[in-house]
Amino acid sequence: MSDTKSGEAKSELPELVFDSISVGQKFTESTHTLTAEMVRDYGIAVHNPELERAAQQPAGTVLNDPSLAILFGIPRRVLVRDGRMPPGGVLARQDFELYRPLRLGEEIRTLPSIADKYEKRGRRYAQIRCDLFDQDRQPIGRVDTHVVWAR
Amino acid sequence: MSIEPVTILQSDIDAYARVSGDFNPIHVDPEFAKTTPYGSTIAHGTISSALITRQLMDTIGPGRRVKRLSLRFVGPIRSGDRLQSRVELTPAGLTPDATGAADSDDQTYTVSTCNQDDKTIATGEALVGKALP
Repeated sequence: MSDTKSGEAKSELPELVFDSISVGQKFTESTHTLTAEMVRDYGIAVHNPELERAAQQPAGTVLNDPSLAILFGIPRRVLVRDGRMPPGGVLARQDFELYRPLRLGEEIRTLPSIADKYEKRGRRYAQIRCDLFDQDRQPIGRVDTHVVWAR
Repeated sequence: MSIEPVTILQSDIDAYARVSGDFNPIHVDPEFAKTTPYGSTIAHGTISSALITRQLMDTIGPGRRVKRLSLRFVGPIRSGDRLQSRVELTPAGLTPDATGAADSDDQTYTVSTCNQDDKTIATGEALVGKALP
């Protein structure tokens, strides 16, 4: 499986088609850096001034907000090569686990896959899993996102 | 203990889109959003995850950490909504951790976020354990 830096060729990606995705399907792995700017902007967006202060600390500083892991499980961020989510889908559920705190400046490898697809009350759902690893390929966490597929 | 309610504005939604890379037009394009059942843009549900996590961190203190958070997003967050998160320790006792092994230091919390009308936006459960050394 190839590896790619985040953001490459995203705008030209075709839309993923619900009937074409399959449970167990793995997508292209990519690497993302948890930059100081990202931590600061996340802190601003979610009204967490502690993160804004943490963003000013040296690289390697432990970040005590586990919700940062979610940023590396968002399908629109991590599906970098294989296809993009159709517009208008809605988040139904999300589960995240973090095995250790993230660190400022850390590079995080993301491996997205389809953990499940199902229909409920006339709606179609995809469970998109993203496993997070550090540069030594040690697991850091897992984010499972259940999306109501846009019609 | 409770953190102050947070009012989410379109500028916050736009900022979250930039940092998350999620520019789904339902969040950032008012014209597109008019064509959806919501009729206007809605915030990323995961903003609730961040607010609940912060509430949990404030509640559990520095000696403990959030190991897992499971949330169902049951209502939209609209620009101007004032959100309050709530966390409550459950009497359930031990909960298996991610590896399936019981950890006697783990506790479960029920968690939720409500808007200014006390409508639930997100609800779920968190697993809290001892902080790593």
